Amino acid sequence: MAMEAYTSKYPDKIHTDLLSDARQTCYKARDAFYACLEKESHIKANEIAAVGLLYPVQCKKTREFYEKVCRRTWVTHFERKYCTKKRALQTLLDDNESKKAAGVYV
Amino acid sequence: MSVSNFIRKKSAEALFSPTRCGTQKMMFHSSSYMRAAQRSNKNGRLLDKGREQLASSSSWRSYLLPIGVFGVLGGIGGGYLFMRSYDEKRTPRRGEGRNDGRSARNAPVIGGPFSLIGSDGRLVTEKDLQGEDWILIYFGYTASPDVGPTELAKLAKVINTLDSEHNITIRPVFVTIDPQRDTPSHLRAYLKEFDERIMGLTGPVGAIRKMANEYRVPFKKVEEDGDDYLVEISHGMYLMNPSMEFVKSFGLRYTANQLSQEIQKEVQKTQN
Repeated sequence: MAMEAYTSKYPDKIHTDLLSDARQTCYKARDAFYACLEKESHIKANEIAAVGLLYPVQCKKTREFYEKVCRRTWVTHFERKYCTKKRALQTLLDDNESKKAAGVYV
Repeated sequence: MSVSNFIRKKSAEALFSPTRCGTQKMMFHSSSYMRAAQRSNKNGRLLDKGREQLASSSSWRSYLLPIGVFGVLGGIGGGYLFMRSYDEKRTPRRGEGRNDGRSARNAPVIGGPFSLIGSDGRLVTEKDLQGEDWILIYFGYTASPDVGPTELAKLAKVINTLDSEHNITIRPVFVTIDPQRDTPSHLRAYLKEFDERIMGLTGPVGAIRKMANEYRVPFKKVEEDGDDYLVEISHGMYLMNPSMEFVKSFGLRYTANQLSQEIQKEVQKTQN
């Protein structure tokens, strides 16, 4: 009887945007957007994406496609990961000489 | 201590609070005493009557405060000792520890009965998983952006490797912690892209939560965006022996190869 209660409560539909093909499309769109970011990194970023990420207007097209083929929660999720990764890389690349001189293990 | 002494002590304490200035302390102190004394004389008769009534019971009432204090302290002390003894029971002494994933009380702490719905819509309980083969359970959800698909791909690879290279059959099970969206037919469509053998389990929210509790898998909805949301979950795979007893869990860091090796080790342990 629990079974009937379950199946009648939630519509038994298939979320096609979560299946393999849709996922791959989303990943590719995401990678295209981030590639554009890297390429145009010398340009001052003015457009605002989710989670405070800025991107230059040159990447607007890839951005719009990315937002179209991926769920918004996924976009936010990937954004957070990207920002964390960028910050980690930045910390490694920073000139830490002054910290090292002070004895901080960097 | 009697009631009037108690009052006097309290007023003295109030006097010595920081808001009062230094030298005036003594003046206030003595005048308050006089005032208190006057007050008690004014209400003399009433107070005396009250004191008489209290006198008979004052003997036990005077013990009330110390007993209360000792009781609380004793309770705290007892509670602390109880916690310590419980911790000590759980902590293995050096050299006595067991490395086989079982608790000190020689009973598995992970796992338990469940009653869920398979991707064919039929009821599945833990008894249906007991049998000849070992079982590998993964708790996840289909709307996972990246970790879910990666883990399932890993699961599929492990099943294949163990089957083809070591002739070990493992039954893979995917339990969704997002049953509201992961309905049986959706699960079927999603999982078959990874491997036909993965059994998908869903069900009423209460049943799912019960099983997640038994397997010590905390999860919660995050990033709510209208109707959409992600689920934060402690990703991991749970290896159960053919009797559906917990053997070992594997976190995200295990690669497919490492997982295969570990599982092979565990299976061969019992065959020797």
